[in-house]
This record gives sequence, structure tokens and C-alpha cells, in this order.
Amino acid sequence: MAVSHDLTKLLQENLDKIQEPSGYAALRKRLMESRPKHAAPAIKQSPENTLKIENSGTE
Amino acid sequence: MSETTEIPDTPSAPRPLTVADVIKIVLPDGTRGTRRWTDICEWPPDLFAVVASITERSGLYSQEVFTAYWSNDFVLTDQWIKDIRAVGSEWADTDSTPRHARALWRELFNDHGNAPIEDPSPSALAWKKIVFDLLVIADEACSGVGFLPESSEKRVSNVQYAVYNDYLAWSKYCTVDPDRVGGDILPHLPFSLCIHVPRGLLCVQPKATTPAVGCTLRSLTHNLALLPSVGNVRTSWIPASDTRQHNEPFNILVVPFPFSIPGGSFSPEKGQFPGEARDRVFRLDPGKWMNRDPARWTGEVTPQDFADFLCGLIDEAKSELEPVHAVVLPETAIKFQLANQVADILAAKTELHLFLAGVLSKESDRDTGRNLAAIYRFVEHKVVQRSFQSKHHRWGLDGGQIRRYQLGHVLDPHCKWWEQINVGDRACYISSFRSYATLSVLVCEDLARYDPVLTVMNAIGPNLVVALLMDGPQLEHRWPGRYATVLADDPGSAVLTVTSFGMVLRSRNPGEPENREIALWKEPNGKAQVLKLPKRSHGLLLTLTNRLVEQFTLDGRGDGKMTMQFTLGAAHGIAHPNPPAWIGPVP
Repeated sequence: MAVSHDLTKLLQENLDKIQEPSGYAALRKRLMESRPKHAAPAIKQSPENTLKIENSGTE
Repeated sequence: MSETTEIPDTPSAPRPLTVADVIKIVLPDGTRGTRRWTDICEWPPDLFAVVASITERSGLYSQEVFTAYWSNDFVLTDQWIKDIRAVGSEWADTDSTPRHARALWRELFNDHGNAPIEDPSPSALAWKKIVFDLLVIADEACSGVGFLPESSEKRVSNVQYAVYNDYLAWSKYCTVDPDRVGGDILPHLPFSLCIHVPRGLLCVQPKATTPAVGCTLRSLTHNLALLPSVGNVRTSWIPASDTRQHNEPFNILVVPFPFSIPGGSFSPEKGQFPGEARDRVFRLDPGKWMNRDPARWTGEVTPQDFADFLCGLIDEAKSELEPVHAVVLPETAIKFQLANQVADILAAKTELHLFLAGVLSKESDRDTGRNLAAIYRFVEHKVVQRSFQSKHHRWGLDGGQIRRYQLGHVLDPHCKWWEQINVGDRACYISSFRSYATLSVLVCEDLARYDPVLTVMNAIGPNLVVALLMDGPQLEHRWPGRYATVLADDPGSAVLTVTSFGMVLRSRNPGEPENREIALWKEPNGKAQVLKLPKRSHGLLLTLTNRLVEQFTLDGRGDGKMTMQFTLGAAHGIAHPNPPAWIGPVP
């Protein structure tokens, strides 16, 4: 699966419309501190899903 | 006179699996990654994974105390719902685990850790009630995960915000590396919401629909779904790019291309499977149906040709309604490279949000090739997401089907012919294409085979399932109608099956009236609707109306009208004003 910068931008805009909940920063800090230590094995998708989206849709 | 049969002692068996065993299997590094299990998980989806696993293996949800309000022992009172929701809500909104949940976990692990998971006795109810409570608390703590409201006017919890924020982080990394797994906090995104539960064991994903029937783990939750390991099937959940609440209908243009399929498109390959089996393989060649114009048979149909044809249909549809939101092509309609280029042109030239197409892909002569569902999401004239879902099961043509499709001259009806495709890399994509509306696509056989993708469909319950088929007429009594009905019933998805007009036409004997049933619609609580392609039409324009409905879990918790349901509002035939000759004659 490939996603574009435009999707990232839209997700960011959606999040910007929401006020960050008051306890989020503390929750994030705690979860970051207890993150697992192991590196998970890489997942390789089918070749069709690994093609990046390059400036699509521009005429 | 009867003889007395002496029954020997029950044979020795392995030590019974205990509650603590399951906890340690699901969380091998401990509840917080410190090889300790005495404290509750900090992250609700981790807790859900472990208590849902205990629930599944013990089958505790089917006991009368949880299901029969008329029973004296029934525990799920209105007060219980109120109290347990408050605990879940507290966890969602604060940065630490509620005291009541911590106490329940300690009691479960310390006092009942050695309890056998299969124990049906009344004494086991003590730990089963704890597990049930923790399951509901975890589900409530994850209210709204995978979605985001349009503004803060609606409550957004810490957990919901954290999940969405991490999808954002993952999407940034994925633009650079499409194989990327993990955001900043959640190491398994987009495959699982868990932190400390190995994705090779099981996955947890957001959920769209709660089954209204049956008594299963799936009917106990609104917000979280328990899924198989990524080794079995990789399920990706992609959040909506637009969080506005849409009330307008969703318009789908179904184009049942190809409109004719020559028998030579089915090409037998040399060799056969080992042993005595008469099982062989065939390959599909889209080149045979792509250009049906004898005057230009050496000429290639270009991406621009194909996109122009689709744009002509979209323009024609505007006389009836606009905008068209999605275009759907059936299984194996076009080749992979062509689809990518057509998608780019459609994104630029139209107002489409979605383009779904069945495509065939073959990297090289040595590559087996894949039969894929291509899913393209467009926003503001750009492709923002592109995913390709391999078909999970090969089509097997038996003698009956070979005769029905008039293919006995190319495939020996005395053999069984299997589609020569690669069925590895099993993935499934759940795309949130509108606020609180999710879509999933299935390829032909996958609609009928239970494992592994239907397990995912049942657990998550996408609001809309589109099945791309290479099949005969879409009639309610045929297999697509039967399986669409199953999905519409449980989990409650609306299902659209789509096949090519070319295959529908092949499904008759010479001289018989032609079939025209190219699609079938089935919605929850509704009758199946067979959709025919009108004479000389090239597409069907379907209008889906949507509404938010309230669903309830088995324990009586409503979701506050947060479930999207689609209903077929209208269907119109669309004829291209100047159909290109390469599509062939369309009766």
C-alpha cells in the first residue's frame, strides 16, 4: 500500500481541528517510555504495493 | 444378562491451560514490557487482546449470567452498564488506568491465574465475571478509535487522539517507505493497535459494525475487533481523509467491462498437478478482450482511451445526478499498469473519491502473476492512497462451469482447471472513505471462502463491501447472492457484487435469451436487489443513501448512533453517447 504526502497533510489538518485532550501528553510520555525493546521482523508487501505515489493527478 | 464393562481411568493429558498461561502467551514480555504480569496493561487495546483471547477460548460469553436477563444469576443490570461505562470512560479520558480496573486485573492474575480456561463449573464464574468486566472496560476506553470527529465539540478521548496521531505518524513514514510498519507509539500500525502483543500471534483493529445477531465475542464490542496474526492475513485500517459528516448520497458508477470475452482469453498452461489428479491450470489474457475493434486490432488501447471512455460515462451520468463519487470495474477487467495510469487521469479530470478495479498483474515471464483488487482513493484531484489486495483463493473451473460458460473448446471439461495466480501475501484493506463509513473489497472466490479474509470482514464489519467478480448473472439464489446475504446478516455490512457483462453473456446456451444481471445489492434488513444492465447501456449508476443508526452489544450497550448504514436509493442505466469501437458491440 502506498500513501501520498497529500493524505498525510489531510490527516494533519483533521487533527489540527481538534483540541489536544488534556491528559494526552502524559499518556504519550508514559507509552513512549514503556515501548517494546525488540525490533520486529520487516514485512515485505507484494511488489504492486511498494510503488510510491509520485505527484499523481497533475495534468 | 448384561456384562459389566470396566471403564479404564481417563488417559493422562497435558496440564490444563490456565488463565495465567493465556495472559503470558498474549503478553510474552509482560503487561508493560518488563516481564511482569501483576499490573494491568497501560494501553487498552493490549488489555482487550488478552481478555478477548480468554473470552474466546473459554466461551464464557454464552453463559446465562451474561445472556439471560430472566435468570436469577444475571449480572448485566442497568446499573452495571452505567458503572462499567464510567470506568472505561475514565480510562479513555485520563492518563492512567482506573483504580477499579487495576483491582480487577490483580484479582484475576493473583487469585485466578491457575484457573483452567475450560472450566464450566459455577466456581469459575468468579473469574469469568472479572474477564467480562475488563473486556467491556477496554472496549469503552477505545470508544471512537480509528475515527475522528470533525471538531472538539464532540468528545475526543486521549486514547482516540493517540491512535489517530499515530496513524498520522505512520502515514508520514509510509510516504517514504511503503513497507513501513509502526507509528511513534504503536509498533504494529497499520496492522494492529496493540503495543505489547506480538502481531505474529494476533492483531486488534478498530471496528465499524456490531453484529445484531448471534452470540459471539464479536457481538460484545463496539470499538475493537480481535483478528488473526499478520502471518495469516495482514489487515490495514486507513482513517478517513475527511472528517466532515456527509449527509448526501454516495453515487457509484458500475462499469461491467469487458462487454464481451472471447473464449481464447482462457489459455490452458502445460503440465498438471502431481499425482493422479486431473487438475490443471489456465491463465487469463486481458489482451484478448481489451480491444474488440477489428479495424484496429493491432492497436493498443491506451490509458487515455480507457480513461476517456470512463469520463464519457461520468459526464453522461451528470444528466441524472452529480457528482459521481466512485467508479467500479469487475474482477480482472484491466492490467495493473493500465489501471495505475487510468487512476492518475481520473484523479486529475474528475471529482471521483474512489476508483475500484479488478486488475491482473505480471511482473515478468517468470512471475506467476496476481489477480488483485486495486483500490485508489482520490482527494482534490490527486491519488492519496493506492492499495492492491491479492485474491486469496484460486478460481477452480469444473466441467459444469466450463460447459455453462461455453469454454469446452479451450479447456477440457473432464479436467478441473485452476486459475494460475499467486495467492500468497494475503492482505485486506479497510478504508474509511467518509466519516464513520468504511469500505472493503473482496475478489470473487474470497467472498465464498471463510478463511482468512471473511474472518476479518466478520470481526470488523465494514459498512460497505464491494465484491469484484468474474462470474455469471448476479442472481439472489446463486452463490454471490447467498454469501452477500451472510455478510449483510452478520456482521451487517451492505454488499455490492459486480461482474462483467462479458461473463454474463457467456453464461447461456446459443439461442437462449441473454442475461443482463451484472450486479447485486444486499443491505442489512433488506431484500437482495438484482441489478440489470439496460439494453445498449455501458454502466449502472447507483445512489446509496446513508444514515447513522444505533447498535447494541450483547450486554446492552448502545453506540450512541455512530454506525453508518447504506441503503440503495436508486439505479439508472448509463449509455455512452459515442462508445469507442474497441469496447466491442454492447447489445
